[in-house]
Amino acid sequence: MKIEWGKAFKTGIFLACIAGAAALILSGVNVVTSKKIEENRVQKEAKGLRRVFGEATYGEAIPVENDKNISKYWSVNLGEGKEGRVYSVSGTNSYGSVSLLVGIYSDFSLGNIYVLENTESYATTLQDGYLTPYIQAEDKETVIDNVRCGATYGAKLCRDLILTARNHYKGGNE
Amino acid sequence: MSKSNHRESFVSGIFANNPLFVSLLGICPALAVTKSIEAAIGMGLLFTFVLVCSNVLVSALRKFIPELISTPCYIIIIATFVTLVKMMAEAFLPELYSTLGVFVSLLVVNCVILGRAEAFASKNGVLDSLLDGIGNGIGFTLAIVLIAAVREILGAGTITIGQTFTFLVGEGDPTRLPILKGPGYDVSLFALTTPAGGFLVLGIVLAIIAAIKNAKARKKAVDERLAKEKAKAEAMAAKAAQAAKEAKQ
Amino acid sequence: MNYLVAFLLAIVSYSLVNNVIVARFYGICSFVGVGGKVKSAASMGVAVSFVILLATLICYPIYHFLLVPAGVPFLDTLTYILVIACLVQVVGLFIKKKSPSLYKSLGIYLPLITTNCAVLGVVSENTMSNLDFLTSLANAVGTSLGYLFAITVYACIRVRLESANTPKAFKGVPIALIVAAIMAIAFMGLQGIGQ
Repeated sequence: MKIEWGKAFKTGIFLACIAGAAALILSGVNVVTSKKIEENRVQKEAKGLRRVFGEATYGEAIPVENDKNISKYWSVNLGEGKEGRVYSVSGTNSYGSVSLLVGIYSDFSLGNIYVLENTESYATTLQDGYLTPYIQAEDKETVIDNVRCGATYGAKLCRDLILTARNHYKGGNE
Repeated sequence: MSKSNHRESFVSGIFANNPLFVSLLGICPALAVTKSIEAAIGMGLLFTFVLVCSNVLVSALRKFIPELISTPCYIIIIATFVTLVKMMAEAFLPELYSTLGVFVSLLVVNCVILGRAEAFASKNGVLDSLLDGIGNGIGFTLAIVLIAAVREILGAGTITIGQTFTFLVGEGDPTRLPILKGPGYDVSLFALTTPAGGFLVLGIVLAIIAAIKNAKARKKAVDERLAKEKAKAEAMAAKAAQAAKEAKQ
Repeated sequence: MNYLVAFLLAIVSYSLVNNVIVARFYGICSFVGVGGKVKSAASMGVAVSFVILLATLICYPIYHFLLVPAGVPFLDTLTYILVIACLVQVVGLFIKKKSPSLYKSLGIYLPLITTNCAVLGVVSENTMSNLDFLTSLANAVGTSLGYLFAITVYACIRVRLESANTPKAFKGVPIALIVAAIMAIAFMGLQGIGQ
């Protein structure tokens, strides 16, 4: 079989042109949407903070360096002399990743959590079997070890993230 | 092209050649995102947008695309619009984006979109391709919303509003309209929300459509036979009348 | 946990518990379309598995060492589909040259693999869930095995189904979907293993 180099070259150029044009258009759109996506992330974080401790005075976010799970935390003044912290934590396992906002009171009891991102393959099972009961429970200590929910590894990951946040607070880290 | 042809290219995708129920294309999203009506509507919107855009562009470029590499070109065009839709959804409807997940990307290999590009848009004018895209988009959206409605109402027992389209409820929690499940009663069929329920509902809906088609075909056959018999009887009566007339004379 | 154990567990989970067809809904078109021919179903399954594995092996480095450093991670879908399309062509040519008899049995299914959602689905899922290389590989292996298993078993059932006396309205695809629903229920029984 004889290859028609001229024709092959032409089709190749044509394909490359189309792909290049596509990449250009997408880059253009990306400039617009990436800003909006960043805005959404900030908004979601703010909404999450309000879900964790309700109306309270939140301090500036303080970044945490050299920690593989904790990215930052906020000091919270809950009024009536009560205080607490909200930690932004994230972790991965074999089935995906989870990002949470974890509220801890200053006496190291566990507060509410807010799910920022849940890309586990068993996301719904994890949500219904572990995270929602945790959020609804009055006393979090009683439910934190209920990891046998059909998505055990995901639940264990969430539990470890919450405990990591508490240990960081307990350790007196700034 | 005449006006009736424009109408034909629009309407055919909705009923007569519905991409899901008649052509049996695009079953994957029809099963995966039909747990809630809202997700199905969102998927339908994204699907229609990609289909219309790719149809128009393929049709506009149909004289320039070399035949040898037509399919790769269509795939690039579709992938571009899918990525565009993906970025838009992530920016403006983040909840919808996370609900649909990987199925937004999978629009690239959706048989309906590629099929319409190859079978229709590459052979017809821009206006017809536009109408064809809108028609097929509406047809597919209606089909998956129907399946989602069955699965959500019977399976979850409630209709949830504001889970995916959060702007409908603002800052608050999503509202759940109780239908089969409410305070004090619960007659919902949980199984329908599972993957197995998806297959089951689609199978039964297709069977109902087939049954209606069969019934129509039977009715047509019976009607034809009756018409034939009636014509025969009339002919006989006419003959008899003729004979009687002749006998009188 | 030991890496090997985690790897094997992930394979079990992606192949059986989270089966590609009956739980994740990728590749249903091929599943329903290939119908009641056991041999073609198995051939199709092998071809798809092969492409899924290769595509994962190629797309992972492309995303992490090319697209992300260049600041264009949003071009992932476009790149993946081109890689898959090229891959299918190359695999086709390679098989044709090395083993004409295999090409004869696989040949007609090769072009269909490009538009099989299972391939793009696995690769996109790896990117979207931020899986590391080993887990991506486990996802690919598990998905391939699950696909091969499900499509072959399904074809075996449909052979019997064709001679069965089904109601007229259910003939063809509707009864096939009902069978798929029953298969999905069977797979639901495996939930809880490997996780």
